[in-house]
This record gives sequence, structure tokens and C-alpha cells, in this order.
Amino acid sequence: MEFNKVPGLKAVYSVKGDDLVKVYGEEINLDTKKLVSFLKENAKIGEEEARKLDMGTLLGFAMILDNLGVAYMGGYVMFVDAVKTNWNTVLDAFKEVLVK
Amino acid sequence: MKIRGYIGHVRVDDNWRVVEKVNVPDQLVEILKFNVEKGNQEARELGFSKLNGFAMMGSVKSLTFMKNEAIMVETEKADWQELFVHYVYMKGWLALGITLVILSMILYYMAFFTSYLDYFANLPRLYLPTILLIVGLIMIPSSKTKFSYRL
Repeated sequence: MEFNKVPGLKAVYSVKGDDLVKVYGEEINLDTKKLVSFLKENAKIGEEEARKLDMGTLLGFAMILDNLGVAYMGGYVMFVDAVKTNWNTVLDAFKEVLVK
Repeated sequence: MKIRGYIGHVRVDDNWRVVEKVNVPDQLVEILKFNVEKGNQEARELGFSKLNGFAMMGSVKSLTFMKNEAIMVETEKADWQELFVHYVYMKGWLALGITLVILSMILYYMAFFTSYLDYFANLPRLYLPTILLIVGLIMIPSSKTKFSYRL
């Protein structure tokens, strides 16, 4: 796994139905079902916005909540320490899991 | 400032009035405002205090927003770390740091080569420029640290 190359990575989860399943890392202490419903909602809104803004199709998005970076792409959710991480490695890790 | 893949940017004040807008669609601000308000609400519902920023990655263009400024880039060329690290106080700190260094140089010059500061004793007239120099020299490099994104 290439996840250990991401600095400040806390955990990787995958979306299963309306909840999250842990793939790697530590337990994230928040309401995962609520998060999934937000992520799905935001993805839908984001798709529309991307179209309006001429950005092409939406591949993914990230939110920084306090100091927690939450990145969502292709059914995976990555939690990182937003202060410690390097976002290029976050994206690389995404590419890797998505290609598999 | 140079950002890889840079297309345009928009900066707003705390009331979402546009301060600076370069090469981005008109409806962008409205969309940003909506996303931030929604994101803040979601953040609170999940037990956080607020949304500090967000990024959207499209197949052609991508968008980041943090600290009242949105930047649009070409997805292919973007360097994400650079984009997030750009949101440090860079410009402000850098400018202030440089100003302080220049100011300290002027004061040194005045202390050594002119009589303007003769009112002060020999050493005290060097205190202020030395302090300014130290502060300025600390500020310049620290203006580019990823730790300051949340300042």
C-alpha cells in the first residue's frame, strides 16, 4: 500500500451504501453516516457547479473541517491532518487506489 | 505570484463583496458563497467548528477556496501542495517582512552616517533597527510555511 507515503494520513475509508468501511488507518470519530450523506449531496451539487463553471466533469473534492482534511473521490474518503499533509501525495494515493 | 496551471482567481471580503477578480466566471462568487455556507453547516453538524476551505477537482479545471480567495487552475498542470500552501499569509507577511528589513537598513544608515539620530546614545540608536531586522528576517521565511494556512 502506498498510503504510508501520505504525510499526516489518518485513515482511508470506502463508501459502502450509506456508510463508510475502513480500509486503512485509525478509527475516525465522527458520524460516518451523516458524513456520507453530506459527501453524496456535495458531489451532486459539485457536479452541477463544475458544469456551470466549465470545469469539466467533477472528479472529486476536498473539505477542510477545522484541521481535518476530508478528501472524496471515486467512492473513497481520505482523512488527513490538513496541517501536516502534502496534498500531492493525497492525490497520488487516490490515483493508485482508483486504478486498482 | 506564479501558480502552476493558474487560470484566474477571485478575492472577496467577509461580506462576499468582490475585492479582486481575474478571469473567472461571474457566477463563481455565488457558488463559493453557497458552498461555504453549506460546508459550515455540515461542519457544525459533524461536530467541527467550521469549514476552513475546500477544493473541487474537475476533469478540465479545478478550484480551491480558502481564506476569502478562490483560485482556478488547469487540473492537468496543478500542483496541489503548492495551491494549498499558497494560502499562507505569504503576501502580507512577505511584504511586511521586507518592509521591516528595509526600514531597519534606513535606520542603520541614519544611525551611522547621518546626525538625525544623534539625540540617542550610540548603542540605543541601534536597538530599534536591530529588532526590526530580526523580526523582518524571521517573517520573510516564515511567510512560506504550510503551518500558517490556518492563521
